[in-house]
Amino acid sequence: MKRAILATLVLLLGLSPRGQAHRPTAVEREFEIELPEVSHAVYGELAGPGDVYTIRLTFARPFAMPIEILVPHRRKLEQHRPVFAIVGPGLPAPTPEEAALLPRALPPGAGVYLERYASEERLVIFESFSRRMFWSSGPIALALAPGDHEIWVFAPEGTPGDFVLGFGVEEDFTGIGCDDFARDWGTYAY
Amino acid sequence: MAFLAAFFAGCDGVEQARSCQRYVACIRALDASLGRETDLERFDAGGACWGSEEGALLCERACTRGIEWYSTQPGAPAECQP
Repeated sequence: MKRAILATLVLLLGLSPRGQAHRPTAVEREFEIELPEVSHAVYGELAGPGDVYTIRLTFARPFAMPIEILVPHRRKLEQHRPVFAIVGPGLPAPTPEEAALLPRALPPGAGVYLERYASEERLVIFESFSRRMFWSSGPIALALAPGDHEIWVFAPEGTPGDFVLGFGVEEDFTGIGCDDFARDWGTYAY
Repeated sequence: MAFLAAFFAGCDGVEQARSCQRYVACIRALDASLGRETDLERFDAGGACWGSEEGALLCERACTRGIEWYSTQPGAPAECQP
């Protein structure tokens, strides 16, 4: 019965013209996104100082998309401010200040966009797919060049905690079964 | 019936945000200088950004910050100035 209710919920959320649902993905520390042109919500948990998630994407052509990093709006995560760096071709070289923040050296020929997520006041959003509140870095629309990119997610202050990296707009739930979704529900809905 | 009416309300979509009109112009100008053509379909009028109010708000904010960032980049075209 619970599974039937969940399946109905997923179907309604997926079909609803009112919502904006990313393709939910719970990932390992290193992960490749197979369909970077569709919307994704990548769920992870940083363990503490030095921990970095690496998400790989390859674009066949120049592609513009919104991207943001979210943190569940929970008291214990008030000080948790993970950031992301997009590393790839066509992006600018880092400033010395940015280079000092990056967790590793850039590959040869790559530039970087570093989302500092540094503003004192944090944007709070309601995410209708998981129906939860999140702090957001604030989305930014970036035009990425063709080729291989990596997104590094890390916490400069070394704080442990959950994050969700959201990017893209077009929805596509092909290949995600209700069983997969139900299994990971605890990750998505905290 | 009320449920169905509520469910399908909003099918008309949302108007393209002014910030995304400017963002699209900015990236197209940048593309012209670089000899490339970026896929901007979602931000364009009638694109996926404008299928729901939540998506529209996301894109409106993203375009605003996008223009701000591109305006700081060396050689940014006039279309990218805020």
